Amino acid sequence: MIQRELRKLILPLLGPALLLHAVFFLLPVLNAFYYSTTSWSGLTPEKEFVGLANFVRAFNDHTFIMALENVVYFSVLGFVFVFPLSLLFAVVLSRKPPFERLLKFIIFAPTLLSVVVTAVLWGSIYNPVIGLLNETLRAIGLGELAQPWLGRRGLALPAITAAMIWQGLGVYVILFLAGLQKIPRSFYESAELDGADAWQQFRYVTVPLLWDVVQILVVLWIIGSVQAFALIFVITRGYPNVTEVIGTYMYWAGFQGQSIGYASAMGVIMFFMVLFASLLFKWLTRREAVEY
Amino acid sequence: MAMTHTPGPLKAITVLLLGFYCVSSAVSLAWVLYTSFKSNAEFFASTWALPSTWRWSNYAYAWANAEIGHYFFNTLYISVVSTAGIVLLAAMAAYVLARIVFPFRQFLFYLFLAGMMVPGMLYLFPLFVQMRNMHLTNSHFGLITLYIVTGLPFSIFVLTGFFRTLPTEMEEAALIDGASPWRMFWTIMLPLAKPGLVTVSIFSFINTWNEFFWSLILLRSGKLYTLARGLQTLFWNMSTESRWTELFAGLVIVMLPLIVVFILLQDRITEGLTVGAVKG
Repeated sequence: MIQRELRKLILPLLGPALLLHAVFFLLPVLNAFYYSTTSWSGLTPEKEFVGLANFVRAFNDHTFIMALENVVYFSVLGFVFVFPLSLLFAVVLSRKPPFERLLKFIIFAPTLLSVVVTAVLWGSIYNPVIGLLNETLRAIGLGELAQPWLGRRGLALPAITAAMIWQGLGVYVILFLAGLQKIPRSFYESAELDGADAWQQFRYVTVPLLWDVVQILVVLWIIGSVQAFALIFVITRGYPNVTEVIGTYMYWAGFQGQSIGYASAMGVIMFFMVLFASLLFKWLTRREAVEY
Repeated sequence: MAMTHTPGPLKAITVLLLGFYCVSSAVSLAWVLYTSFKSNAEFFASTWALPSTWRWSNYAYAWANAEIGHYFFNTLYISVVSTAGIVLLAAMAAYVLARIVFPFRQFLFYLFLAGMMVPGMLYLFPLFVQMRNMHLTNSHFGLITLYIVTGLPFSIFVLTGFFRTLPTEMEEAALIDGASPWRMFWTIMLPLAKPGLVTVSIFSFINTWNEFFWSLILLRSGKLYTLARGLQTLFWNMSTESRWTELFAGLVIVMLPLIVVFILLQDRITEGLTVGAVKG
């Protein structure tokens, strides 16, 4: 009876959101798959069907392959640092350290800042002439180490990874912190009674019980790296360069290169990478989670 | 908690590592802050030195000449309207998805959630073409529409969870007393969801305030720019203009409101970030 009355609300309450979602999300998503099979430049009305030609072109395109390599680089290198650093910070914060609020501020504030702020800040730090990094090296007598940090690929990739870590760390610390707070104290007490030292407690209690959090963290980091765009785009002033990622390359292909079809195909590849990474990781770690 | 008796060397390494991170992070932010008061001549003479006099005129320049002030009010307007739109539409949709049993309910819920999983890069070009045909590019109205659409999935996700926790007796009592379902929603259920609405509002506001990607795609004329878009243009112009200290003043103006919001709402924001992060 109640439900029958309530059903009168479905259309007026759900309708507006659903309409907007359909027109500005579902429709363009479907069109993206369609465009990716055409050679459309974006300038002419007719869209010629070319099948999978755009995808073949991508995997024979040196710039695209480099962008792909860079994405893998960001995922792996960033992960190697983000994971231990955020876990350490979370463990420290969970033990109510001195200056707790100040620490939280330093860790979480970058997460809340616009990606443009991060890009401008790090772009200024790495600036070869006036940048904080080179000036500091010169000031402490290590002037010969001063570099054009964003100029060479071997330096630019880790330099940009550092900025990505700085920006993203807060979210991972919060995730670990929430996970740590869910572990019952009694687990550590019984481990201690059994004679486990601090390292063993960490290894055999904390790590297995945080496994769910680790799964989420890995997937989030991969998705973030695959979609990377704004930070690199702003730091490198939108020019094609050695730190090209899929995002920046497809933006260039679509808006400057006048090939919407090709750019859409790259977007589709990006979509499947995100989907595949998420599913693969869920599958790989499916038996490891501990119920408690 | 864990590691109550951390061995000495391990503890020393941890303190050193985290200390280095925190100090360099804090120093970089302090550097931006005090450099924003220097003259460009002083800045080029020494990157590290403190300003000889504290030049507030850099802020006046950034605010007026570099039009940060103009972008500030554009951003404020866009963020307020978008946030109101997101919260209103999401609350309405979330109520239906959480409390009413009907066919395809679960399917529609996941259809909205897909908006959080799919990279914006995938549908960027079709969306741009479509909005150009609808005359929604280079307009605040178009940008606000897009902010509402991209903000809905997360807000619907959070609010659906929130509405599910409310007791069913409230609806029954109201309907038996003869209230229409429509009035019952607006006068009873919506006010009950207030804590959820506040969380969602804070997040929608921060997200739209910071948003860069869609403003880059949609906005062409400078007078329409948001802070993020304006700051990016200012930064790109540095290669020819070299007004670095004014740029830093602009950077501080953009950062300051969020830092104030963060200090005031620290606990609520960390709590909300947890929800937001698990969405993937």
